[in-house]
Amino acid sequence: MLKGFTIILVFQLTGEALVRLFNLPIPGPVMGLILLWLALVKGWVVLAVVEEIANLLLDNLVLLFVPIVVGAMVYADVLIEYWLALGLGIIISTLAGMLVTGMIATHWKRKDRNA
Amino acid sequence: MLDYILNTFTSILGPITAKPAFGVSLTLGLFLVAQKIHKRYPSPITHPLLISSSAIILFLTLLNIDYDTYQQGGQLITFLLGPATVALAIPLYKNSRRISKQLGLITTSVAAGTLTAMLVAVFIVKLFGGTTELVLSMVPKSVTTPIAIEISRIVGGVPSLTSVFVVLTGLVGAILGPAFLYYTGLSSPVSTGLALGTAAHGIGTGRALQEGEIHGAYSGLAMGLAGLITAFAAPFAVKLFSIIGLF
Repeated sequence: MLKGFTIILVFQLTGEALVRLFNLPIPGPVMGLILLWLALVKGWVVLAVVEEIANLLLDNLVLLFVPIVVGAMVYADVLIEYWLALGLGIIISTLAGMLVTGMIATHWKRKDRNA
Repeated sequence: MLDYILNTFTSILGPITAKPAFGVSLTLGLFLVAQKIHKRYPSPITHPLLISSSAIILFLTLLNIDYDTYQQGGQLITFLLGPATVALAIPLYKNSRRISKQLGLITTSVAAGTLTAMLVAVFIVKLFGGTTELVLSMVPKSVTTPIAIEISRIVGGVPSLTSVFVVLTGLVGAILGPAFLYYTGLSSPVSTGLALGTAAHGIGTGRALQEGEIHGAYSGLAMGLAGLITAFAAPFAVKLFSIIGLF
């Protein structure tokens, strides 16, 4: 578990370094994700070594967002003043995005199945 | 006697709450309780994130503890979002073969959903009188926090406000998403995973992982892709909005 966690952190840092080096518009951890995926595909990192810690982190993914949600208390004034615009904007746009993605994914899949 | 107890309490409270262990244990403790409540009364509105963060806000407000004090511990939990993002490589790798056969479907559906969510959010907030600052902070709200914060800064939004919108978006997606996709007939594992990851980033992916590993793998991939697409598209979209006079 400890070895797996160290590997993941090193990949995150390598990602951060590459992003800065090449001035990429993506965050370091996402670059780390791509690098770790590549390393798994190439066999440089063994799945069993990182799997346990990855499962622990991903099983509790939602917990990691709690402190950020609590941060909403700092913006209570703005959130209350513009609650309708923000509420409608967030709800409708999220459903619209899911609808479009889901429709394309579903119908594309049918096309594949028929082919 | 009562005075003595109260005075002792307040004199201890300050130094204790400033310890990182306070923020961490408050968060973990209330999250565990929230998970129990959700298991006992399974419903979208008992989502553990919603229950635990409301309870923490209430607790901090009642005891007059400010957010920065809580964050001494809170930031230690937020720190793990980095390694957790890297860890998404594992379900992705396990499903690599399936995914590589569907790259066209995946990129098209994720790109379309990402751009739709961004445009609809901007138009509605503007339509209902939101300030330019709010509209710009709304642009990257569908993607995972670390990406969204960077984009917000680049397009001229308020990063911390963006992080609040990001989490609210994730909650809406995780709470309403599965039922919405079910009633619209779009609830296959691939469709659910892609839709949740595209529109509701990590919180949606957390929800997708509960549905199954395939859901989770597609969701994690969609979340990463949506982040990339938003990072590249947001500056152009904002320029376009200002040209057509939205701001």
